[in-house]
Amino acid sequence: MLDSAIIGLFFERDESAISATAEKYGKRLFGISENITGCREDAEECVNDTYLAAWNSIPPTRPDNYYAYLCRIVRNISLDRADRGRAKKRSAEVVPFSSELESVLADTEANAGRSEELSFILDGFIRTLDADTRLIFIRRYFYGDSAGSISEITGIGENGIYARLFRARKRLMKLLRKEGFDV
Amino acid sequence: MIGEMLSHAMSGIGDDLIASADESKVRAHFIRRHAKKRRMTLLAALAAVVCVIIASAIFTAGYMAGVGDRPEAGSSPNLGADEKAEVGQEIHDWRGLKVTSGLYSELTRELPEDDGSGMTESSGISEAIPILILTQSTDAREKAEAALADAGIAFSDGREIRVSLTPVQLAALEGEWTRECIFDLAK
Repeated sequence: MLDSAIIGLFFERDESAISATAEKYGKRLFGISENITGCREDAEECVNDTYLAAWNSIPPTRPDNYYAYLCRIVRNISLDRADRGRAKKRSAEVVPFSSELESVLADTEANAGRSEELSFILDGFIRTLDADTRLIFIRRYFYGDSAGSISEITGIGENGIYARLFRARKRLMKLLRKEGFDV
Repeated sequence: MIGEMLSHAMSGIGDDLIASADESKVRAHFIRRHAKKRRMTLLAALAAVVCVIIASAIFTAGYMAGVGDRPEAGSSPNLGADEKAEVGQEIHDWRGLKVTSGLYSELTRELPEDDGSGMTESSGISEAIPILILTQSTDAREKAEAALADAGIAFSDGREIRVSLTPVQLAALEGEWTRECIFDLAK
């Protein structure tokens, strides 16, 4: 079913919009959530919460890109759940790629106060990367894929993936320093 | 903490970026990428093979052309047909003589023992024969001149060495340079 048709069902308050979404995007949303939470049960709950969030937000929202919209929702829900889990000490390292990203920015109050700005800078930064690195960067830091699974998808060796990510983080660090962040 | 902040900030990237990195699209992108790389590698290998073939063809053609230009045994080496004609005309202008090739082998054939008189009856050729020595290099000319001087034979100066020799004298001069540069002159 086309995304526009599914969104149409949401607007008609037809519950089959949920099943249509689950059928088309369920596995992919589950994959993102599992990458972030590292737990199947949590991932299933996050995906269900995503359907509910979509049901509650459409309408009035009419997303231009329905898949990206759902990805963003499931990602935020999964990150929140991971944060809560970490707070309860359920696991030491909940979000595996967070520690990698920590290396590009200093943990200061000044930086913490500029979280809104970061999204804008990151978006601009990713667009400056070459196509291969851009896709690898997004797979790693948005979708939460491991280097092994990125290697499987791209056909590039794990060391190559790590090397590209390392260089990209280094460039990001330079950009953030230039933008006045503490690095 | 800051890592989590960055993780959350990643959620704010554009829809187009998120959608472009969907697994199936990434897979397709890299399949195309690798296919292109393979094509380029193949093309480079093919180009290298073609270059080698062309180079060897050029080399072979050049080598065969060189073989074609080589003089046959018994004829004067290192001179093409045009050059020989030019030399012949020059000699004709000089003394009204013309170049023949048959006498060269006659002159350089194995001669009987010299009886010391400078003449050989058995050879049947006792008179001095006009000889033109053409040399391809200064080194060869110097060798020729030195050999003639050693033998006490008078010769003309210039690019060509013009000299009259009996067969015995010619035999005495025999060396590497004579086979390569002697022309016999006969009316």
